[in-house]
Amino acid sequence: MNSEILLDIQDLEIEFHTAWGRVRVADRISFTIKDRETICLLGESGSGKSVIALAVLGLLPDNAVVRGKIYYRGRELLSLSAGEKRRIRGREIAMIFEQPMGCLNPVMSIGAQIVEALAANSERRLGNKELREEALRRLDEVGMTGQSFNDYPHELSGGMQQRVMIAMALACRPKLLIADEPTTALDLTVQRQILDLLNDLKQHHAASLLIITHDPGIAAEMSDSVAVMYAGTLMEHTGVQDFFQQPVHPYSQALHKIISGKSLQPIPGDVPNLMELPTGCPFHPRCERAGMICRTDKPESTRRKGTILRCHYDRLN
Amino acid sequence: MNKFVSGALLLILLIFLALGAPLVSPADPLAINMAERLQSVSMDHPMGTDQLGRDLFSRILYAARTSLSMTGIVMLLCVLIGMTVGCIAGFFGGTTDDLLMRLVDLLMSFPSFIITIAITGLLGSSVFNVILALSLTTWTGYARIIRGSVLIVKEELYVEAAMVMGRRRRHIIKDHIIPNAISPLLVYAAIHSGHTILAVTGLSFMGLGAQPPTPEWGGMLNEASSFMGSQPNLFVFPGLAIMLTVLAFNLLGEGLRDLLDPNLREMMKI
Repeated sequence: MNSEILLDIQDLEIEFHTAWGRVRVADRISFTIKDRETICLLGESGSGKSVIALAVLGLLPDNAVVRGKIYYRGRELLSLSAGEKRRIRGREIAMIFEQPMGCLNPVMSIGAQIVEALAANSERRLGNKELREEALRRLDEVGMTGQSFNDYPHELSGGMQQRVMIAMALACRPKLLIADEPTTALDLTVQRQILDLLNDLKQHHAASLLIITHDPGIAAEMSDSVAVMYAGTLMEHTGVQDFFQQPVHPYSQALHKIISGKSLQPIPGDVPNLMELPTGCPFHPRCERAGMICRTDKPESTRRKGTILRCHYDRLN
Repeated sequence: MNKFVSGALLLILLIFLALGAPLVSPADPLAINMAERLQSVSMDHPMGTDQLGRDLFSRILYAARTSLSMTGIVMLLCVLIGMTVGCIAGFFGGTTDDLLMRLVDLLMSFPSFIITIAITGLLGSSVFNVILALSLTTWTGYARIIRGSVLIVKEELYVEAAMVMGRRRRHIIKDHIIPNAISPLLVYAAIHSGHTILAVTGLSFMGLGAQPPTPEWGGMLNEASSFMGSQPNLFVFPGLAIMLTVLAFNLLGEGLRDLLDPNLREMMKI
């Protein structure tokens, strides 16, 4: 397997300047995505997962301050001009969202929308007939028939809509597909189909996949590696087997206890408000092992055997 | 629904009559015949004749061409200017929005009819100048309305999704924002056209706008004013024409508003 690095995020720091002060939603995040790898960003709501995706695409709102580096195939993305960023989007990196209904224009037929996605990002100009044929092929790829070509979004089910979104996102064969909670809004049975479809297409087109989810089940099933986010901090990034068999970070372990069904014991306490983060490690108020140092100093990332960990506990042992 | 259909049918009828004026009208609207001046309603002259013996019915039909086309052009110009300004202000926001909307506020703070009179007075009275003056003074409402709906639509996920797919901004505005933001503008355009008809005929009544002998409803009313007591047909029929046109536009506008309102539409289905 070619393990060339596709996306390399280094010390990514995102702050929002709001009327109530600065909010740090991502604190020195580093991770890499290899060619053809599937990586899962796992975390609770508000832990900063989606913001990272938006930073990669260069679509953060104006009040965001971004520091750090994002390399895509050796090109630094944050320093690109608006036009260059736009050319990366869709052609190199595409994204699908949680709410497929909202992401489709209600007054355009889905065929026209796929055609538009093709036309906007193709290297060369395609004729109308060619575009239509390509769009039909894309529909076929996501398991839909040409009969749906002239349907409007409201005529389709949620699963169908998500298929259309996938067809549009993959229209121009991006190298990296970001799926932000791709199945959260869908029925359980449909979730399965969409995940299988994503996996198939990823294999078929030799793309990498970044799945953003709060569902460890999806992480276990889909990904090669798992990155756990908590309150804007990347706590642990490790291979999927290690993560589910021997998690190291106390937060991962707490999650693991719940997933494995050994106890239905929730993690005590609440996710901290990003405006009022505790000092030191953001997880220390809820951590079983928290010591003095955890309350005062924020741990730095350490790397051990392919695992990146951000915990004092690791260093103390 | 009924309002929309009746308004649309009435308007279509008026447009057909205007377009088909040469076929429908019994006489040449400009042909002076002093022997038959100031006649009342008869078989030869369904609406009588005016002070120069011209057939009133033919003149009203031909006048529909002037009035309706002027209204149509004013509306198109207003939509064009208003939509451009409103879209830019709503989509880009910030300082651009502030500057453009303050300009709109400024223009709106003057009574548009007075400004129109001033502009036509300054440039001279002609059809072209009236169109120009009316467009320049009334596009502001269009800009405000489209800005409001663009502000809503631009927050929609499909706009964000289009950005994520690397679409150009002008394509996003053209393909996603305008089609989803335009419905309130349609209603406004229809109702505003009713106002425009009144303004166009009002200006002609005052001698601004279409010049004699070109038939124009407002101008005909002006000419009829000398014969108020003796020849009521001279002002009743042009007045009726104006009223029907305004009615058509208003019915169309209100019908559209009801049609485009999802709540009302649901109610009407039951």
